[in-house]
Amino acid sequence: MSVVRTECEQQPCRNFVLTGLVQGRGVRPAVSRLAVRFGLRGFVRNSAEGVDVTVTGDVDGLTAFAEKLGQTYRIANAWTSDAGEQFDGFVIRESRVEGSFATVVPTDVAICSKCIADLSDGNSRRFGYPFTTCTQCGPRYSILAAMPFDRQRTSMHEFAMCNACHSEYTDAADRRFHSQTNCCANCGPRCWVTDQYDNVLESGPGFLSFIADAIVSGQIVAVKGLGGYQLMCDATQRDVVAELRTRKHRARKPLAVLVRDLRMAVEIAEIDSGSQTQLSDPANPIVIMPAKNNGLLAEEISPGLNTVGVMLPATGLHWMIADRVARPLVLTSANLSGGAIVYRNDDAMSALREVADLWLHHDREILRPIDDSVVQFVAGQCMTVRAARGISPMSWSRSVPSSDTIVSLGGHQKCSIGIATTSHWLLGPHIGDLETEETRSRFMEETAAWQKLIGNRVGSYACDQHPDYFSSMLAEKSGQSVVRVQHHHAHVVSAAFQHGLLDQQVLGIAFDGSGAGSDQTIWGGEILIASPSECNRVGYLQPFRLPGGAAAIQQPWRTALSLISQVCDGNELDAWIHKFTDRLDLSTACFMIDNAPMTTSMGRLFDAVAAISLGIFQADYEGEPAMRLESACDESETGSYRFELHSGDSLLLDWRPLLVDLLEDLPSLSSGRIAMKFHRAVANAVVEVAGRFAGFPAVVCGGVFQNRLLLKLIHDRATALAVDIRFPGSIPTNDGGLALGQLIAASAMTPH
Amino acid sequence: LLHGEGGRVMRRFLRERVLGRLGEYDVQIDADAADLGQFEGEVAITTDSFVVSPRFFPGGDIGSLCVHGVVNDLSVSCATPKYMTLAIIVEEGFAISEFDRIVDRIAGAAKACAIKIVAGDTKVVPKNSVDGMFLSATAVGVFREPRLVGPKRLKTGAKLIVSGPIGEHGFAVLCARESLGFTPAPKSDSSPLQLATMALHAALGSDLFAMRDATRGGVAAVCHEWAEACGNAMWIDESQLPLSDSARGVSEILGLDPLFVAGEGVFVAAVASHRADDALQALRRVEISRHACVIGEVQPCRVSPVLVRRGVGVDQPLDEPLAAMLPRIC
Ligand SMILES: [Fe+3]
Ligand SMILES: [Mg+2]
Ligand SMILES: [Zn+2]
Ligand SMILES: [Zn+2]
Repeated sequence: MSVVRTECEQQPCRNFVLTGLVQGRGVRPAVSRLAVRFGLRGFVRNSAEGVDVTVTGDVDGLTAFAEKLGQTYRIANAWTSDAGEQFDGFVIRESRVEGSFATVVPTDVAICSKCIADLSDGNSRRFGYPFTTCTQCGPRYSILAAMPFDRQRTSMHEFAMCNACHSEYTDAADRRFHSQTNCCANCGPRCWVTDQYDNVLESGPGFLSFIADAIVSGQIVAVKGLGGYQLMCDATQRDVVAELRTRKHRARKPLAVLVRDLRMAVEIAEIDSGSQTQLSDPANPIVIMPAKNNGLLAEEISPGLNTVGVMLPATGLHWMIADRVARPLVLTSANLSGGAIVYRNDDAMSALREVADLWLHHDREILRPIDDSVVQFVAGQCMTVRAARGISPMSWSRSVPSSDTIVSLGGHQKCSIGIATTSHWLLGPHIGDLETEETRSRFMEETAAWQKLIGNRVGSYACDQHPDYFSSMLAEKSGQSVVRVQHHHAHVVSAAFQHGLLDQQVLGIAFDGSGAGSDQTIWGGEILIASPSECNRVGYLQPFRLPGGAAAIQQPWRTALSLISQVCDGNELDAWIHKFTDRLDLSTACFMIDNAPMTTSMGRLFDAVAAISLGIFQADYEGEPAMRLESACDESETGSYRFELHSGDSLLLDWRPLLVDLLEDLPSLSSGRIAMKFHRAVANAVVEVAGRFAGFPAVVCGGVFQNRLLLKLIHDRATALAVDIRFPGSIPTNDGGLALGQLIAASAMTPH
Repeated sequence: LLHGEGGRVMRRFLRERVLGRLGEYDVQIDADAADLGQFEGEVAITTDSFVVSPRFFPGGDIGSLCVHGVVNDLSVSCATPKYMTLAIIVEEGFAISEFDRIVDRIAGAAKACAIKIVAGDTKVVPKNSVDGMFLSATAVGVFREPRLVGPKRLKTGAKLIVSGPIGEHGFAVLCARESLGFTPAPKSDSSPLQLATMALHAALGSDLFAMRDATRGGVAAVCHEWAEACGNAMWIDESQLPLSDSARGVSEILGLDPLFVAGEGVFVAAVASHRADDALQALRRVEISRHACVIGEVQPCRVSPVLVRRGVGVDQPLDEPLAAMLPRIC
């Protein structure tokens, strides 16, 4: 004994704190193997800060170990100390629960190829077991009760490991060494099939053929996935997809497609290497790609669009169904249009009674409901459209640790919340549009649950400037101090952060549907020079009115009428009115336009052009007219319309000459060419604006810049003219990224 | 009309133009104060001003609206209207013929409502001080038993009933004011609610909890007020809302939610859920409330005080805008 102690004194301990995404990713087993390899003793454990490592041993071993560790992980802190105790070997210790939160909350990980191999191998003890996972894959965030990520703090704690699983768990050589979600058919979660009366129809291994047969025969199945229930049906049967749309009250909004593997994905989509990487990423997002127009998928999947959203199986359960059915499947969040995702077994039956024919439940509780993520690969860059399962929560360490702790509540649509801890910026998962009672109540629950998870005390709130946003009202009601950040300022700060431009002023080109401006009008076509703490509006789209207010979103002809009224005389206007509706006369139309709210929204300009050139008078979802306009583009058209840029006190992007030319083209030019000329005009204007403010790095942001073709055109022109424009990336450029911009702006605007 | 004339001219004017027309009523212009005598029961009083433009609109006019306004405020409180006072402020140069017509309408409406005008005042003010004519009225009535428990004690489960098509008045006035050409043209519902409220009260007694006329701010304003008073949520099923074709047409084209639009002959009632059918039966026997229907119920409040179940089966919060409507999503 005394010999060991002497050795300890001669060989001090080295300590490391690893941060970043280090929990739920098999880091502790890997560190443990590494330590053993270099003959070191000590321990590794999860903590609030990340992963703590303490090792002792001979000097060469320690040096080699430290070097290897640094190559693989981010070492936030390292120091040498006396060993306060003696170590017999190297162990994984119980997590340290106290301390201030600094680590990254682990995200859900799609099933890995080794686990797929296990469950499809007739000789494996996990053959046909849908909940197969390992240290590299499986549910994380969605089953997490509290940090650090350990089985006893997840909904897996209800499943005690059987002997076979436990021996894997304790065997350093096993892939499932210290896998927190380790389980098998003998000890883990089970699934079963019920009908709408909750009668169990199948609870054994027969569930698979039962479900597969039902899908092939045209039924709609509610499947409990990782983040919530999903609706699944055959994506090749038109009447089935149409029926799903009817039941879900979702007329045309695109539906995602699940395929077994990349081979099947290639049959339905044009996959470039960037998209392929996204598809196979452990985050398992839906990837939007050009659709192959080969009639394989039902037209009803993404009506009017030339793209399709595709995903690979997230879990063994998904893989097994996709494998057995062997055709593409519709996979969409189980909710009614506009509602929040259903995730509790008890709710699934009643909430989905009108929608599903069969239910495939399982008994692992979902603690944090989360939707599927959506990404796309455009102009050489991957951009997040919706940050949710597998991607969220996102976190970044703050460059300068700060004492301010802020919670930001985002906007009104595509809401997510942000948290600033003393050490990190965090952006939570997509929750939804705060238009329904359900999403509002989910928003409040998640706001509370999230803060609890992070252990953050709220110093202040950040929110939008719109007085009637639910999120802004919540912040006001909190009784804490509130920083209101202008909508497009938040967009620009979020984009500047994406590109590491927080320490300077940037030119932000923020084009979106709408946000409250600081002049009581609705903004959405903004050119801003902004830093996190300041924002100057240096230009904007020529303002116009939105007749009917919010009704203009559902009926894009209203905006079209308003625009046309600015460039046409009474007779022409009258003719357009009759084209759009038979319930409006000229004087009523003029009254309606004159009394409507004023806007500079680029999103609404897209709507209007879609209404005029494609005849889209009714929109099923926000953005539909613009998306269909993009899809309609005939890329062989090389011409362009032109925004006139008037420079005065502010730069004015005047769309009126554009509209005059467009109306002139209307009788003679195809809608595809008109749409293309419009897209070019917007792209050219963006590049020209960036060129005029060449002294500032330019970022584009806002929902309009989810338009693939628009980004491609901007990219090509900017490259040709050597103008530096930065595109959206991992942080959603739509309102899903607002909360992050709000956090950073609020922090910069608050005197410390 | 000329401003500033006192004395004989004004007295003669009042005697001939106003009193003559209000003739058969007991208008005591010569006394400083009217003697209303003894009341049997507890006294209710209400006051309101009327500035509607245009003064004549399809279905009504500022004069009858003024009488209906105060009568209805008493009616929904379950008070029987007895007396009212009337103040007329009129702009210099106002056409006498129109003045006469309006006074006639006031007299006719008061007669129909069996309310006596017991005191009055007329002022002629310089041009541009008012927009033509403003009216102001105060009315007293006597509460009937049992008294309503009122919105403060509204319990979950209570049914919400609306007495007839909503938003009629607001749409009619808007279309008249702006000369909007809608067919069919909306017509104001301006009318007294005495009979309907009495019938409901008589049928339900203490199972009638609260009533409120859906004037400014429409049904939405009533719901918000009640929700705030009782702490529960008011839940409305949009598909059950009675709406005339004309109101529907205007609301769809102009993008105005009829829930926020005023009616002047319609009220919301909260009744015990097991008495909802009795309530409808009683109401439907009265002409003005023949289209009464159950539109929702009082529910426990989760997040939002007022909810509307919209077409696709999703409950949408019905937010009151802070001030002017600045659309959130457009
Ligand atoms: Fe936005
Ligand atoms: Mg009143
Ligand atoms: Zn795995
Ligand atoms: Zn097991």
